[in-house]
Formats: sequence, C-alpha cells, structure tokens
Amino acid sequence: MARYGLVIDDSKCTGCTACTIACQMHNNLGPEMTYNRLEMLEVGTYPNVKMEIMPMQCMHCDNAPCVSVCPTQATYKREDGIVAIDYDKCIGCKYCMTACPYGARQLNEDRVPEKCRWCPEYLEKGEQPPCAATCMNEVRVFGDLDDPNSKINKILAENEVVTLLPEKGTQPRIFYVKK
Amino acid sequence: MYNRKTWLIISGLLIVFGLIGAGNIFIHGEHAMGTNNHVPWGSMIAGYIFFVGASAGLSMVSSLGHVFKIERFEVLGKRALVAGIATLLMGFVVIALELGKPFNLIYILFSPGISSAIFWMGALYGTLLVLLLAEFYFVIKGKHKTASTIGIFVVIADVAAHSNLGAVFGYISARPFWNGPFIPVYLIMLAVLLGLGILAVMFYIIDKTRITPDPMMYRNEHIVSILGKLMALFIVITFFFNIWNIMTNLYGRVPGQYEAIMALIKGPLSFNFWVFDVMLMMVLPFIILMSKNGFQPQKVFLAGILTIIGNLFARIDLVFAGQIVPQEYLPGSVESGTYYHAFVSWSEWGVLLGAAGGAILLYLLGEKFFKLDMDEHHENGYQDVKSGSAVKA
Repeated sequence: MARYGLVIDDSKCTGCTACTIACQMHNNLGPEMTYNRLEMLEVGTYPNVKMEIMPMQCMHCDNAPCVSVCPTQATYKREDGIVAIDYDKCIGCKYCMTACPYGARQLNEDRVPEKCRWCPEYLEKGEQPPCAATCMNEVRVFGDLDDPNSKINKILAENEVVTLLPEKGTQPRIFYVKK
Repeated sequence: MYNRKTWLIISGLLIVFGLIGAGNIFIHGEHAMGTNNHVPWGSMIAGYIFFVGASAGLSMVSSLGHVFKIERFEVLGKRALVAGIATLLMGFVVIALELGKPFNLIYILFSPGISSAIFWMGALYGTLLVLLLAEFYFVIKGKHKTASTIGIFVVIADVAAHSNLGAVFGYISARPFWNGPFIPVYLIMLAVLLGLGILAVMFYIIDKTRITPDPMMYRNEHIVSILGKLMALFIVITFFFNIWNIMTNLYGRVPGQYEAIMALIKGPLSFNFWVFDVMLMMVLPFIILMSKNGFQPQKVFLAGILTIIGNLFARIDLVFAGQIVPQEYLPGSVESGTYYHAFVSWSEWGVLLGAAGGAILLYLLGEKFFKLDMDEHHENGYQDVKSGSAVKA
C-alpha cells in the first residue's frame, strides 16, 4: 500500500490559477467552488514589500481534526493516507469546517462540506492529478512517501521543507519547500 | 396579557414565522442563512445551545427542590420539568434545521465517531430526553420516590450534556478563542442564569393568571423574589467569568484569542456585546434587582426578560467570535483588524422565534393535559398568598 504525500514548491508559482481551474473542471465544480486556492500574501514592510503565493488545499493530515470530530465517520482516513468523505454518511453539521485550521472545506449545494480529494483515480495509476499535471512549473509533485525512488522523496531529500501550522499537531501530508 | 388565549395567539404567530423561516432554509439551504465557508456555524447553532441551555438551567434550578429537597423550591417542580422538556425538544428542532442532512443522523448508531464531541452530544442528549420523560411520567403518576431518584440522574445528565456541548467548541484547536476549558464551564453558568430568568418570568405569569392553587409564598417570600436573589448572584458570577475571559485574552495577546476579544469589545460584534451581552444580560437586570424593592416579583420579572434576551445574544456572539477571526497559516499572513462577515438572517430569526413559540405551545399543552400543581407533601413553610397562613400538609 502506497503512502501518498505532496510537496509544493511555491517559489515556482506564477499565480496563473491553472491548478484551480483544472481542479474545478475535473471535479465538475461551479465557479464559486474550488478545492484548491492560491493565497496571495503581502510580505514585508513598505518599501521592502513583495507578494508571495501560497497554494492551499486539504493537507490530508495524519492527525486530521476533521476525521476526529466527525460524528458519523463520514470523513475518514484511508490506508494510503488520503482523507476521504463518505457523502452518504455526512449529516452536514459542518464540525469539520470549524475544526480545520487550513480552511480547506467548502460547502456544496447539497450542504456537504467538500474538499480536495487528492484524486486517487490518478495517484493509483502512478499519474499526477490535474492540479499538478496542468502546472507549467511543476509546483506540485505528488508521490509515494514509502517509495525511496519516487520523485517526491528525491525532492524531500534535496530540499528543506516545512509544514503549515505544525503547532496544531495535525501532521500534514503536504510539505512546502522552504524558501 | 396573562390569559391562556393570548399566549396561544403569541405562540401561534411565532410558530407561523418559524415555519416560514424553516421553509426558506429548507428550500434555499445555506443561502438563506447568514453563514459562509469562513463562518460555517451561525445563529442556529447559538439558538440550539440556547434552547438546550434553557432546559439544562430549568432542570438545575428546579433540582434544588425535588432533588436537593430545599423546600422553598418545591413549587417549581413539575412546571419546570414540562418547560425543560419543551425547550429541549425545541433545541432538537433548531439543530435538525441547522444540519444539512439530518436524516443521516442514523449513522451515529451504525458508524459512530466516538472521538467526536458531537457524537457524545447526541448520546448524552438522547439519554437526557429519555430520563426527563421518565421523570415526568413518574411525577405525574405520583411516584415521587422513583421520580426523585431519576431526577438525580437528570441533573447529572444535564450537566454532562451541556458541558459536553461546550467541549464541542472547547476541543477545537483551530479556533483559539473557543479552545480550552472555559466554554464548557461558562455554558453551565449561562444555563443557570437562563433557567433562573425563565422560571422568574414563568412563575410571575403563573401567579398572575392564578391557574394554580399552589402557594407562591414561602415564609413571607415570593418564589419569584427568591429566584431574583439567585439571579443577582449568578449575574455576578457570570460577570466575573466575562471579565477574566476578556482580561486574560487581552493580556496574553495570544493570536486568535486577542483578535476575537477585540471583535467583541470594539470590532464588528461590539454593539451586540455591549448592548445585549453586557447591558441586557448582566448590568440592567443587576441594577433592577439591586434597586429599592428590587426583589419584588414584577421587578424580577422585568430583570428576567432582559437577561433571557441578553443570554441568547451572548451565545450568538460566542459562536461568531470564534470564527470571524481569519486563520493565520503563516505569521503575518493576516492583517490585524480584518474579520470575516456573518449575520443572523431573517429566516434564522424566524426559526429561533418559532422555536420559542413552540416551547410556549408545548408548555401550554402540558398545563392543559396534566396536573402540574404541587402534591401536598411539603411541610409547613409554604403560606397561602391571601391569608398568609401555613398551608396544611
């Protein structure tokens, strides 16, 4: 069984939002819904200011708050590490939305809080999901963390990486290349 | 204003408004609510904790009589129990409308998420409802010993359920303002204050309508006056809870907590906070109660109404304050003083007022179909209102 992870090198991101659109197209989302987004951050103090772009989506945490707060196990952790949703079990309490420190959830028209799926239909075939495949600069690289020859492991070995909000204890599966 | 017909009309109007609001939410879903992806919990969650909090408060205050055997509170017994059941059921109605897919609640039985505070909320409130109905059954049957024993478990279940409801918020580390042991304890305080307010209003009206031969006087003191004294005490306690919650959050400047408190005291929630949470829930009732002859029933009645309204807003503000502060993924990524917007929509007001109407109607039905007067098993402290003489035991 693979143990999936994602490394993001946001220093390569141009902010073209192709990843967001590819995700919307693949998952049949309306224009107001998106499973991934680009946070535009203004960093520094005038006049030494620059804009940084941070791609954000579900972190598929190993200690996912959305999994532990779900009263019906509608949100659950798969063996391969993907945090998935069983739509038939969701009661629509939105507890997962309040519990997620990354703002990853979005409510759909059926009143179910949805999020990035990591598209297992691609990962299981060894392919990159649409958000990564469409990117011109290879900002996102998905892969098997247990495979020593995987590209993601090579990037992790060559670069210093950080996770977001480590103090929350969520143990995210998304690693950001440190700038 | 005190006759039954007037209350039936009031409850009917409120229920109609509630049905219209509920219908709008049913058709348009979240679009009919003041919530959004950033602030997913709104006034319906606050309304739910208000109604189940009312139930908890009614049970806790009335337990002084029928569980802890303080004679002067025995008159509250059955009526507080009926009101407790009515408010609990209306809390369930509100949360059912808040849930996106309430019918999927069946999976709480088939695939329970036992690490979820909402799972335990369902388990504890389900148990509480069964216990309350059992207590009511035995009380009506006149089996006081059994009812009294169940009453002990009702109080335990009530405190467990309501403080666990606080833990639904307290467990969430993603929302620093909620995270910690404060809310479970604070909700119990709010519930007692709310219970005292509701009982004061109820028994003032019950006394005026003279629908019961029960003596309202105990050793020359009206039950509403006694409730007023407890109300003053619990206002002081609630005030201290608020003061130290504000002070510690301001002093430490912990990210997320500080901004939430600032939202309350000078931000987008400040009007609600100062007018409703502070003035209506605490300061004005306290001034009324502490004024000359402040514990006269009509003054306690007024203080009760004010504190009930303030109590609802305190819960709405508690729910909003935890979420309107943007989450900071990286240090400095959120500009200080920015807040997400959320509001209470007319449909949500409809549901909240409709639930209040439903609780009034259920209580009136309880008065009509059951004998809610005291059984004469008390001792000599009670006095007839007119003669001032002790009622025969």
